[in-house]
Amino acid sequence: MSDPSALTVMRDALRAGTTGAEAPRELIDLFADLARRLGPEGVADALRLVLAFHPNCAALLNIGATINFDRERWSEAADLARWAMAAGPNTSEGQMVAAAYLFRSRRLHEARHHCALAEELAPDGAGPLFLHGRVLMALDLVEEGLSKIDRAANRDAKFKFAARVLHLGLTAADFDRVKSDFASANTDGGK
Amino acid sequence: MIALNAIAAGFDVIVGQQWEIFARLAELPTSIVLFKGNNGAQAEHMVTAKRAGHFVCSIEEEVLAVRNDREILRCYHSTARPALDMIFAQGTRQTALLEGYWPDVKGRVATVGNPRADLLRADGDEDLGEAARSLRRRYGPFVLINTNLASINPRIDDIYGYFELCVRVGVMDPNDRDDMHLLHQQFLWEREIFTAITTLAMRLAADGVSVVMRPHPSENAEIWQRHLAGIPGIEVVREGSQVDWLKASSLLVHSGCTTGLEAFLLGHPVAALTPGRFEFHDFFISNLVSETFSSVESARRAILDHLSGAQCLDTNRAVKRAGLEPFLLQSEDKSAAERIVERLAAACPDSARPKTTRLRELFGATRTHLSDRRLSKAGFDRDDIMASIESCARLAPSVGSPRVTELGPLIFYLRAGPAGPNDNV
Repeated sequence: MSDPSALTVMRDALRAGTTGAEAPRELIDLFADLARRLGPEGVADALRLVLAFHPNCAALLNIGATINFDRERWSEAADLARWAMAAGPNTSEGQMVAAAYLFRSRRLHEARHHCALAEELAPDGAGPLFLHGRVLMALDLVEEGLSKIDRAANRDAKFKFAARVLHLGLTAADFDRVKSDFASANTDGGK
Repeated sequence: MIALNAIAAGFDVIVGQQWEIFARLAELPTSIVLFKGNNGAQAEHMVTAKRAGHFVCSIEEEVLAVRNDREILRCYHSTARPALDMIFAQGTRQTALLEGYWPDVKGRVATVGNPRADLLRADGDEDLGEAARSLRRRYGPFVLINTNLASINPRIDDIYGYFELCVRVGVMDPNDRDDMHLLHQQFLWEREIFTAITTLAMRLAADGVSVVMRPHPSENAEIWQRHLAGIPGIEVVREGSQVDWLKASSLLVHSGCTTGLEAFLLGHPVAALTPGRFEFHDFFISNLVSETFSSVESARRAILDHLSGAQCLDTNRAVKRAGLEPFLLQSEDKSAAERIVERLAAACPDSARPKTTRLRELFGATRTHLSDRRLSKAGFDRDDIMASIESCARLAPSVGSPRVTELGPLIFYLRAGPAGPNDNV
């Protein structure tokens, strides 16, 4: 349920300004402050309103993505993050945000695309490698995925624990192993 | 069942998806709020409910098939206890455990049984039902294998996402060495089970037995479908009610899943795979009431013997039932739902009717709290709720069908008596 006072505040702020690609800094700050104070539920309608006036403002779109992510609306968050990327500067961090949201909503091929772009933009970074590895594992590309995850852990120690955990997840390789053992047992006369 | 018994005792009841109710705790008229669990996420709302003046009480849905003390205590977040006016335990062991571990809850814990178990016992008396009959017609005789590997194969994210979720809801402390050791063991245990249960499925299929695999709702079912669905004799399914699949099957195989206990309560043959040396095998009541097999081959032979009629799998029911009693109160005189409502009526004699006529207005707002995950997790719709109410009413004919008003998305207001033309809520 959106807070009506947030809507009123944004309406008044928009009335005083103009429409356009970039929202004025004061408006972005005002909206960020409202979001901080009222939380994602409190500013839901205000977000829709302000995006209608400034549909290509990357800062607002990023706030919108975060708000939707907090509300567990991952697909909407992913779309807003990608919209922000298209409207604003193309950064590795931005690509990662889009990829992370897409991974959560299981749009894995799109997530893979953004991971690859994030890696290109930050070739020495560990974060893009780590996320890319998780996406690849979910796509059944286990060896390639684990290789990226291990490389991320070698680059940055903060990924070491996560890498160890990810090696224990159920993957396509586990199914292949069981099927292969089963086939061997049958060939050997079954045991 | 709790709602219907509450109506019979003179209460009006609001039932439905928790997020919309949580968002309105402060605006609702002072009443009784019954929580389904006690983890960190629930506890946060218990505190809000308590502050708003409600009588706060809980059951614990996660412990139906759990018998390990540490795992039961893990379900109760430290902030839940002070907010709870009454805690409903399903057996004397749970009551003694809670009162022994936290002396401050003494006098607030009531041993009542578990309404879900009552429902199964009552359901077991009925015939198959149309849904189960239809599954039998479609699949013929089959062995049902329920997997429960949600930590290594979660529905959302991946195994690392599962770890982060455990930390976020407060069931796992990443700085606690014991917690981390246990989690690691859990991962290894689930991996061992995966190997055993998948091998068993393939061996049975090779023996000409039809196998239906149902991944747990918290699992990523797609990976099972991608890698097993093409094998002749194996079907991977997610749809439909677990109880219907259970009733339609020749027997159930699980590995420490709550459905093992459900099968036992329904009087259905049930086997548990317990491969490797893991303390987790002893965590579950469902293993206590199942025939357990530590190897794939011993399970396979017993299943084939059962299916051929050579040796029934379902033995020693009386012994198993006696072993179950401390963990799950099962006396026939009263149901768990009746006991819960009796306790609530005695504790809150003035809470019977909400003192407002604004309920529809209160709940009629937009569905801002239903996210992708929540909608998917809720897993039910209006028709499911109505069918469930009707089915419970059939099982408790003395209670009767209630008058149902939909207040908002998946929020229902239940009262005694038939619907009137001017239901003003």
